[in-house]
Amino acid sequence: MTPEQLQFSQAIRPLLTRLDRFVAARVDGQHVADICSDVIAVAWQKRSRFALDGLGEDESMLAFLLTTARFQIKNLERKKQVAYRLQPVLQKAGAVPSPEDDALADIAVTAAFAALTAADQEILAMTAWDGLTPPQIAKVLGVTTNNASVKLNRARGRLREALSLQDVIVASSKNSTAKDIN
Amino acid sequence: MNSFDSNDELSRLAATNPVANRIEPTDAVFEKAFGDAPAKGVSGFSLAWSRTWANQGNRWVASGLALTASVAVALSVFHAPAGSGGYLITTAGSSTSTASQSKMAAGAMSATSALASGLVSDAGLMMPAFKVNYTAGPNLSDKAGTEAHIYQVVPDGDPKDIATALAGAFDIAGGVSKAKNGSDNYELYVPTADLDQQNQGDDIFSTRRSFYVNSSTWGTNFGYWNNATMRWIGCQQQNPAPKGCDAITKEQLPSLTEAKSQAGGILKALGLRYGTTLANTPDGGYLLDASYQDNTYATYIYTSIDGVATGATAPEQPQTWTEKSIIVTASLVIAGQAAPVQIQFSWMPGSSDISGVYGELAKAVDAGTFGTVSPKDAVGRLNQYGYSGQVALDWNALKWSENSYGGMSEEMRKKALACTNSDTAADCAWPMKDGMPQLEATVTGADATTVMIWDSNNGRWLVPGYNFYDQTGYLGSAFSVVDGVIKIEAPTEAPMMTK
Repeated sequence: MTPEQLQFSQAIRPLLTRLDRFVAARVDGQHVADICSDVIAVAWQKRSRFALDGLGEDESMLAFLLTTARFQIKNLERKKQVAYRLQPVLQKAGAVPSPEDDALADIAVTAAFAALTAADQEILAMTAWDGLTPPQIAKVLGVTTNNASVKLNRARGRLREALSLQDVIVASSKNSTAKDIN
Repeated sequence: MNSFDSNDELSRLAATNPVANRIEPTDAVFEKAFGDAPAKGVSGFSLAWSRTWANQGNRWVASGLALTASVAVALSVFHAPAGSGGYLITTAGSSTSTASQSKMAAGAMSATSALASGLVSDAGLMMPAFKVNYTAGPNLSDKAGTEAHIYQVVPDGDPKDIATALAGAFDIAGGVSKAKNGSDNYELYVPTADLDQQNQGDDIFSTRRSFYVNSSTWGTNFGYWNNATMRWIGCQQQNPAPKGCDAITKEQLPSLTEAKSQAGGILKALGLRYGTTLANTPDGGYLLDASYQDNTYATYIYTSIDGVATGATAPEQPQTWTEKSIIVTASLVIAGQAAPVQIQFSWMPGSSDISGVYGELAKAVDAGTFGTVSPKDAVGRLNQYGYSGQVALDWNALKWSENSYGGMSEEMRKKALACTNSDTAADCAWPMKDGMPQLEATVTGADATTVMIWDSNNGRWLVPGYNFYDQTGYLGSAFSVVDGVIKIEAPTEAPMMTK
């Protein structure tokens, strides 16, 4: 790294964890480092748009990183001719859960989340997993804060509805299992 | 991080965070980033690359504005540093990039990738991994194409002026203002009357109409929505319906002709030209295409005890039902081809008025003319993602080839799954290679098209290309620019198997 690149990396370092987790929640592990480095490379090319001082706490830079990561993730998924989905769907669909997993997992919330649209999943995950506020989500999605709030409220409503259903199903399933055992 | 009410839906979702215990990333990411990036960030490209560098008049002036719109897709390319081999565009990544090494062939898809997509059928049938090998049919033309233009799509227009034009188009009075959450890198304009509602949600009875224009590093986007058009469908999704729903009556959707007329009216108000066929759409104008969509909605029936709502739904809920909506897509026409630079208009079920309009405002800059290869020669590019991009097709009505995920029958999926789930070659109906069944497709047709590619600076390019078909439907698209103009990393046809 050149001295300028080192200075830039130190300035942006506080945001790397959030970028890394944002990407890791959405793609297979093998792609995380590649996408993060691609995003950092873009940020480096666009560095003239941001002040170096306070870069690690710069909301605009965070939004820039996450938006660019979102594009890169969509690009990866498009190349695979698949839709943008989030990791829990992979976990539930692709892996046989161990008894420990079943015991620990909130099966209802996972099933309810999986039943939502990709758009609902995305905005809920940005809130619950990435810790983004509506104004931050708005920047990443390229919509108004108001629009992001509306989308989030509606997605929350749909998650709540789906959870109500799944809670009943899971409770019924456990009761049935208990009866079978007895 | 956010904190949520204990045991509410978000706190429960937060508890499922798959990366909550992820270890901290290392600085190796930076080393890799700077190893891949050019020493100096370069935007734009040298005039030496542009043989006929001139604006070809592809600007659409509307009250002093030049407006087009696009949707976002991605292909990682970035502008080459000056003097790096004479390429117009150079693909991103480097020889050390595992991401580039894992670029998949167009017809290939791993089972894990399919799982990641959530592409699991109702019966729990996983999407199989397979690869399609494409062969040019005898009737496919081997005549090289003529020189064709490449355009760069760039943001355009002052956001405040655009907002003012939109206010006029949607008849929203009171002026426009810059929202408080704008910054030097992010400008947001909304109707002045909505300034204090930026952080508020709307209930289902809201009749507010609003719009926004935002301009940031990534482009200039706009959107319009009319909450009143969403009331009827909102009321139908709860039983008993919320108080006030009795007054919300179902309106008839417009005909597709009427819908296109309404959309055209908005474009006209913005000073944009349009047509309903390629023949009657002027270059630089927008081709309008309309279709009904079948949407599945769910109604939750809440249980009650002695007439008192319990707030809980019965276990057999929800009840699903289907309603039609309308989508009108306006695609920019360049050089006689519809490009994936689009504005989309939507009508919600039960409403005769436009519910929403969304797009990104940009202008296309002619980067010059370049040679193209024949359809026959471009068939080999179908399996190389470096040549892929986005095209303007009616995805809702498109008939996909049986040799693609979009058109593969369930029976064929089961056969392909048998290949990957068995160690016995005899169980597979196709030859196996790299752990995947190898399907064969003969390309029988190719239509000229415009392909949009995306660079890692978030810049977009419109380049000539082909849509390819076999006898059962659409296979895929590839750009047709001769090699030597767009530098593409050596493609890897090996599929990405993650486990």
